[in-house]
Amino acid sequence: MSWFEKFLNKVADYRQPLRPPGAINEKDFLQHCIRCRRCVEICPYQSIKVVKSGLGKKSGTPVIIPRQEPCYLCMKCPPECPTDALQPIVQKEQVRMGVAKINQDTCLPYMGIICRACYERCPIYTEAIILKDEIYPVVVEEKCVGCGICENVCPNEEPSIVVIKREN
Amino acid sequence: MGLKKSKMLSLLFRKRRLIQIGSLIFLIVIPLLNLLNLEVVTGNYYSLRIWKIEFVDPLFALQHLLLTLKFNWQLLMGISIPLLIAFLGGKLFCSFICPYNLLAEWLQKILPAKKTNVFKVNAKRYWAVLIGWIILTVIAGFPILYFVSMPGQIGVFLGDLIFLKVMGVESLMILAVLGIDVVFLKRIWCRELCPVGALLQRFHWNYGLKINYNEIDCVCSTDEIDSPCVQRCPVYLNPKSDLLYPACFNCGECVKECYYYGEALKIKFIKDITNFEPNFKQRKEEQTINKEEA
Repeated sequence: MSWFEKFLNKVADYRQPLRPPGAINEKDFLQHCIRCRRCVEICPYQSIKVVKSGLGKKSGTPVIIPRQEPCYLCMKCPPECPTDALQPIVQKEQVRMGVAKINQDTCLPYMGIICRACYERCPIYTEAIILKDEIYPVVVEEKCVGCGICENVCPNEEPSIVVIKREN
Repeated sequence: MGLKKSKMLSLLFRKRRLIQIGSLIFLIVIPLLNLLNLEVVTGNYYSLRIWKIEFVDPLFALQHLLLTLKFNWQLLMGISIPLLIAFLGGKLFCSFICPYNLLAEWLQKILPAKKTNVFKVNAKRYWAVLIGWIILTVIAGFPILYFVSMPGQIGVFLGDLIFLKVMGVESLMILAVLGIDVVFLKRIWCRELCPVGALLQRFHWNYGLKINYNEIDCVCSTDEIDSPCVQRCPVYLNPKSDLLYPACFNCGECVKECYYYGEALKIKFIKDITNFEPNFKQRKEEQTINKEEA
């Protein structure tokens, strides 16, 4: 693989994998996680998938792909983890998986079409996503937990609201 | 009481294949139960939870400790039962639970070949391999032994296939190791290389469950290769030699075979270590001298 291809792959894979709720920062997570899949199996919605990257460092670790299935914040996985890769969290408001970002160039309300899909489905209702002037959705970054439900329900083919992993 | 214990032991070893198959089926049942949202058991042989009892592979607890330098009480609780079994019975996990060993033994049955050699495992070399694996983890900076822990890999292959319906390239490790190991290298993986078994063997008590050879009762060939017990051993060891441990995983096959001959081999808790060293070489020399005299 040439350096250029590697660069292209990196650009295409710019989003860090979204870890299950309670996950510690990415560098420590890769050391703590023993790839046992117990969080994957306990998830009642099958939201947690597994990274399949051959013999790579991230192979076998849990990941949430919001466009396929977002996290519904049932909080079953953190106590299931045998290591401390997932810190036990009880309240969904404390989760800091990621933070949603809105692309105002493609978001429907910003283009003049009324849409409240993300606002209505947000589990931190009326706090994490607020409506500016009763029309435009805005993410409150301090309150957003990064569950990805908004990304999942966005009616656009390429979601206008995406969850980026928080760097903590 | 003593009789009862030995009866239970013999029953356990007679039902070994049944327990092995049960362990493989268990790995298929876990993801099926979880698909139905029944949360009684989760995990596989990396880490397992049955109801509220935790099990963790000691190798992964050790890797976690080395990589994070933090004690974790949940992991410590998880390794207590595996370590207790290893303390009393050595690598019983390998012979009774490990699905890789089951597959390898079946493959050996499909490709039957008369054994032409046995292997002597040098204890120092055995522990050096384990230390090498652990150094590799520290260099890699993540639990890299995830890829070479065969019981776990088989578990996650079945789990991911049934639960998420995906397959990964790393599962080819199972086929690669199985093929090379059984067909070309005569079970070297289980005998010397596997880090999971080696770490369990490290905790084997000197007075724990061991194959005991009583020379006086030995009736069949004294030849190293031709004895029925040697032919039966799945990992190409000589049960009559004093170099059996740390490679032997206490499957009890040689004991079952010897039952039809002199009952010279027994599996039991060793009371006196000095009893445990047969003068195999000396006896062989005496025999050759007798032959020459005749």
